[in-house]
Amino acid sequence: MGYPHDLLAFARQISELHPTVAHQPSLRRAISTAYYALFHLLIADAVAYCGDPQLANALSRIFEHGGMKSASDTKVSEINGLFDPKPPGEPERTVMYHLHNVAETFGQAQNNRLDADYNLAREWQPNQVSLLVEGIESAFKSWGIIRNEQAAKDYLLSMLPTRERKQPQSPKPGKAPKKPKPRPSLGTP
Amino acid sequence: MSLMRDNGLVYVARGFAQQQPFLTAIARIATGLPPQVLSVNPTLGNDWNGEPAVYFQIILSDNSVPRSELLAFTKQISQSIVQQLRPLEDWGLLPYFDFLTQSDAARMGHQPTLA
Repeated sequence: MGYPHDLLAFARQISELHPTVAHQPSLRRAISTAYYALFHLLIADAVAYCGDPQLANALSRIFEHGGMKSASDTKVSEINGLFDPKPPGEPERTVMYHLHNVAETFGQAQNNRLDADYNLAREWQPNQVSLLVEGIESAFKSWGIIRNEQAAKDYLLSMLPTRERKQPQSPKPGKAPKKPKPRPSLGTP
Repeated sequence: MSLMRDNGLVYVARGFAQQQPFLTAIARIATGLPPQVLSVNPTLGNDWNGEPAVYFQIILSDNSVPRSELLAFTKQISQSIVQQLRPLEDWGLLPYFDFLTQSDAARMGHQPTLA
């Protein structure tokens, strides 16, 4: 099963610790844990094609929450466009349906996770959290169905940090741009 | 004295600039949703990544949908709103959805309102 599935099962357990009371610490942990389960599921598959465990571990650490969210939002919008006005034929329709479920759930789950972790003004209810965890369980099932499809691999690829995202911000008006630090090179003594 | 101006483009989402037509469009869509939907309450803001967003709080009447069908039902509602409203494509806002039962909403002090 692996770590993501264990994490998701744990999120479900936490969400049911206090079924009749809106116990905020456990509900918040459940939301956060369920999000991280999906986060790690996608990353685990993205690096699964890398044969070397050490390299796979290093690669898994270059994924960023913001970049993955942005790629998911773009994918949802693309698929919405694909289905409007007429959905594609099979088997593409089924693949896109499940990919939409994963990408949309990821975006919503990340926003909920940030609220759960940092916005203490937002109150959560057991039914509400149970539904959110169920949504991520559904995304896991969808991913299991499409994970070997090219569209799913392209989605993972779109989550990789790009050069554009890594570029530093432009200097503030009136301030000189920072000099880049000299890079070490093999030719210098 | 030199005057420096920042003439960079400022992007304002259409949903922010034209709030009334946006809210009217939501209200029109809300009236066509299934009767189990008691309330659709949109709030404009920015999400955690700083992107312009619309947060929909949707209140469902208690026990009106079997628990085993609730997730599919909520997805059907959110998809129906997205398809009709096109919040990102037409209004520049990322949509977020939060579904609450009537009793949970009351416990949290939310009043049902149709956009």
